[in-house]
Amino acid sequence: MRWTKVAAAGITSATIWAVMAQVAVQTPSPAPPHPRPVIFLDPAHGGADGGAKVGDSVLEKAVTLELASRIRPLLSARGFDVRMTRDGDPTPTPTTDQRAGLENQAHPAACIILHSAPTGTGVHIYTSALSEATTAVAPANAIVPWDEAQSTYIASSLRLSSEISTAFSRSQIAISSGRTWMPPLDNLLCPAVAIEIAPLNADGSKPPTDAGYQQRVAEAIAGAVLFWHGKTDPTTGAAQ
Amino acid sequence: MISRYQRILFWILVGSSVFMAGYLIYLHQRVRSTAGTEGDDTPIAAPASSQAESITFALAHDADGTITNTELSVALPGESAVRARALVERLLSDDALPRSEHPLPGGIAVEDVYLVNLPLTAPQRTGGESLGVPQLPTKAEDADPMTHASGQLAVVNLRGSWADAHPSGIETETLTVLSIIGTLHANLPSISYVRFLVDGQQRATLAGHIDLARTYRSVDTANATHP
Repeated sequence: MRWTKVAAAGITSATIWAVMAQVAVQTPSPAPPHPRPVIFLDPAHGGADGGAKVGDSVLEKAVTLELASRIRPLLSARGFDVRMTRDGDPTPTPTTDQRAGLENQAHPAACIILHSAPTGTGVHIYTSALSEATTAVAPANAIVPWDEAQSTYIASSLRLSSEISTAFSRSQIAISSGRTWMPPLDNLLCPAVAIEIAPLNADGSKPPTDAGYQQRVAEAIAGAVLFWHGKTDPTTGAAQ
Repeated sequence: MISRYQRILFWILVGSSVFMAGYLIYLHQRVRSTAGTEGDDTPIAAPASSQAESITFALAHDADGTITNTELSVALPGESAVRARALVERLLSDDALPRSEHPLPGGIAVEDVYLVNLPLTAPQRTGGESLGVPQLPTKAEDADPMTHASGQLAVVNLRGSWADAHPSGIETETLTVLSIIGTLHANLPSISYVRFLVDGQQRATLAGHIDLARTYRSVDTANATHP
């Protein structure tokens, strides 16, 4: 009698395990989470390279890092995977070529290079002055000259620059936009802009070190990147 | 009791003090009114035998990040390379004036400007000539656009002391390079490319931002034209 009960109990538990295993097989495994688009922030300068003298005792490297630290959480909250070329003030600091290498390896949706200057007013937005490549996307096995890597992304970089300019205009921040030749901007394989934050007013009353001014700039950039990414085909970088 | 002569002496001293204060205020105002020309670091122009002519300068404006073509009457030498050097020197020395809209460091900025005829050709290699084999360019030579270009390459050799003192920033450095290129293009149409050296050496950036190791096309860089 006791053996019968044990056997019955064994059969029952075996059956349950079998059913459970079958259910487990039949139930589709949860889909892997969709990878979040990567945005690379590059706070320029750092270490021995202090950059421009923005305030009485403030160097450009400190302002760019502070601004990047304000943009990072705003972009993360909007669903982006935000990476930075430097989190602190490391010595030695990566060179512009090393920064471009880091960013290109991550295949980011966009790269934003941050600078600061004591001259001019408002925010200066620059895209690469390279001529646009004839093919929209370079073939995977094509050799791209290092100094002209950005040429295949000029159109999408200009669209990103345009969205950011519009966002700054809405935030009533004076902007001037242009094109330049600058490392690592020319070496990036992603839509890329260089943003230089100058004093807000011509009389220098709101310098780039002003926390409130930096926050306005950060919010405008984060909003513009989200809006731009929503309108862009993530596979090609082209406008939808 | 103060004696009479002491009172007279006292009032003479008071009067002298008031007079000297007034004279100091007058001198101070006179210095302030002439302060605008005191910081002029423009080198004294060498006596020129040539006539003054209308020259187009591509002037930079930091406030709005623009380049404006502006005509000025200047006497320049006739020889192309010397003319190019004088043009760039005049452009950059005007930017060093106190009321400049694109403030740059004073002093002499340009060491030399060299004009090189294009296309560049490599020195003849030995070996093939004796066999009558035509000299073909190597793959690297063929890939260099300077071996196919026409016109002239202007090599602007800047002074290191001037470049080191140049303000750092994307906008200000870009405007400096664009204004030099635009001025050369407007006045010396034979120049098709421009390269920059600092103290005779290639330098990565001008002051930490714009790429100075690149060969730039000589083009019109102005956003607006003022007569």
